Order: sequence, then C-alpha cells, then structure tokens
Amino acid sequence: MDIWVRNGLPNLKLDFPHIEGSNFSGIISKIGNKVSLFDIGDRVVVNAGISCRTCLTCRSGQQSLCDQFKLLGEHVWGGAAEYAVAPESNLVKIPDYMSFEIAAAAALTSLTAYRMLVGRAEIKPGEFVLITGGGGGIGTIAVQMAHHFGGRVIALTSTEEKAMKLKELGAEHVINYIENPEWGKDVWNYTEKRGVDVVVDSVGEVIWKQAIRSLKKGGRLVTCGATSGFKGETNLALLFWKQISILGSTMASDREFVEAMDLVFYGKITPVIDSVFPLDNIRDAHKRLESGEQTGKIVLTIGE
Amino acid sequence: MKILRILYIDEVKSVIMKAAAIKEHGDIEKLEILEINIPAIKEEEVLIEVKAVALIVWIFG
Repeated sequence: MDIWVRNGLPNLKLDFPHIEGSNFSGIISKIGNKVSLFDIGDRVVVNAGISCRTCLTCRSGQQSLCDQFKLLGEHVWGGAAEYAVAPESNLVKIPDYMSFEIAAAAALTSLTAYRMLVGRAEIKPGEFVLITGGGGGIGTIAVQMAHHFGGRVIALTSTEEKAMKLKELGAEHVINYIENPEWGKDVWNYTEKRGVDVVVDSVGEVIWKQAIRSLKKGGRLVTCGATSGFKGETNLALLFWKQISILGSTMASDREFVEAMDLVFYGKITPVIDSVFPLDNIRDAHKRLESGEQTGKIVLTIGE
Repeated sequence: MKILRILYIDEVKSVIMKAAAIKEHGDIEKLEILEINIPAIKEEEVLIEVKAVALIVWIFG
C-alpha cells in the first residue's frame, strides 16, 4: 500500500506533503484532555483504521464498515515520522517484553488476517485453507493464524526459500505457482478432489479463476486486496452450483484488533520480519518492497 | 489526576520533526526526508513518539 499511495491512486486526493506509514508503534508523548485509558510513557501499537465512532455502524462494533472509514498513512498522515497522531480508541498497549518492531509488523497484517479468517470466513478446525500470496505480510500471518485455529493450510508462493519458511510457520502443503502455473490441479489432488473450504486472498486477478475452482462445495473465498489487478473472472455456474461465498474484508473492528494482537502478545503468531531499515533509508526500504523478494515485513526504525 | 496530567502533559521538546514524506506522487525519488511541524492533537487523541513502522505491500482501494 505504501507503494500505491506513493505512486498515486485514482480516487486518492492528498494534501502534500503526505506522510505514509499505516503500521506503527511507539511511546505516547502527549495526550489530549479526553484521553482516559492511556498515559504519557505507555508503549502502544496503532490500529490504522479511523472511523467516525458515532454512526450506528461504529456503535454496533463494525468500525471498518463506517462510511467515513479511512486509514492512517493512506488518507491522513501516518507514522513514517518521529511523531504521529492517533485516536485513543485505536491503541493497544504493548507488553514490555515485546519489541516495537514486532508490534508494528504484526498490527495491520494480524488484524486483517484475523477478520478474514475468524470474522468473515468463520474458520473451523480441520478445514482446508488455501492462502495465496503466502510469502507476503498477510500471507505469513494468515498461515500461522489458520494453523493456530486448526486449519490445514495450503499456501502459494514463488520461491523454494519462501516455501520452506511457510512450512516452518505451519503450512501443510506449499505450491510454487511459478513452477506450477496450473496450481489449482495440485490443490484439487492434495485435497483428494474435494477442494478447499476457505481461500484467503490478497492477490486478486491472476489467481482468481483457479482460486474459485479450488473451492469445495459451500466453500468461502475471502479477499482483502488485489495486488495483481481488480478484474477477477468468476464462472457464475460454479458460484451457484457449488454454493460458493465470495466475501470482502477490510481491516477489522476494535474487538478484532485486540483479539488479533492478543495472539501476537501470547506468542501464538509471530510476524516474519524480512529486513529493517532506519527511517533515513526509506528509499532503500521501498526498493526492497518493490522487488517482491521479501518474505514478511519490511520495517523502518526511528530514533536510537 | 487531570491536574497532574496538565503539569506534565507535553513531553515533546521540539516543534519540528523528521518525516519520510512525499511532496507529490511518483517513483522512489519522490520520497524525501523532510522537517515538518509536529502535528497538533485533538482532545481524544495522543501524540506518539514513533519507534517502528512496517511497510505494507497490498492495497485496499
């Protein structure tokens, strides 16, 4: 997303200069008069989703469905700076034993994966879960989370190195989609011609057709992004005959953020950090991000 | 409690901060380290001294 915001998006109108960075952690250095649950000196991690907090949707606990929903770092200033502003309602305290880098790397990916798997797909133990884009930030977290909830994880990735890492994280079967462009057949065979119960997707267009075909009858595909393009071809006969559900997912509710971070704090899932750069080297960090060679998150550190 | 807070409410020493920012959309060269005024907070907000930021690859739209 940092790359897309930097490059520009059709419907994104920003005031410049703009500070990116949706995933951040730090120490509270100043508080507003109505802040009651946090204090100066607290170590916190931020949920980037900003909602109005007053509409019926927000008050019913579905903050990411708010009509005024926006993201720190995308629509308003984010955290790629020495200081950043966030509403009290978007904070969770970080335990003393956890590093700022781990907390920042976990925040957005964990809450997103949690809503996709738990809130939207309603994963159940024993279900086959296909995770596309396995080597990315969402993928590496989703593999661990699906495994934690008892899912049998199949992951797609592009290199042998990433495949080995995904198996370490809990993937039962990993498919290299570069070497095996008809990976859907592999999924079909691995599930003994049953198909997967759930597809967790952040890739979009290039995997869409095979992902739909990979679902079993009654299966659910949940999508949170479309890094390869927005136009996925769906065979409607498969949709109604197999009674498939296609589910969208964006960010998470306050409750889901807390529950996702608890999984991180209690060591049930750990974000994979690919590399760490000082803030001054942000261009190098973006080059690494654009290369697509990373496994897991690229983190910027600020201060000593 | 509120009185105590007012006494030490501002831990921020400077009014200027370093930020990785874009002045316009474009390639990597558009990313710059700038000196920018530290933003003000509203009464329900906090100012955070940022320690770590994780980049994100995908898009929400």
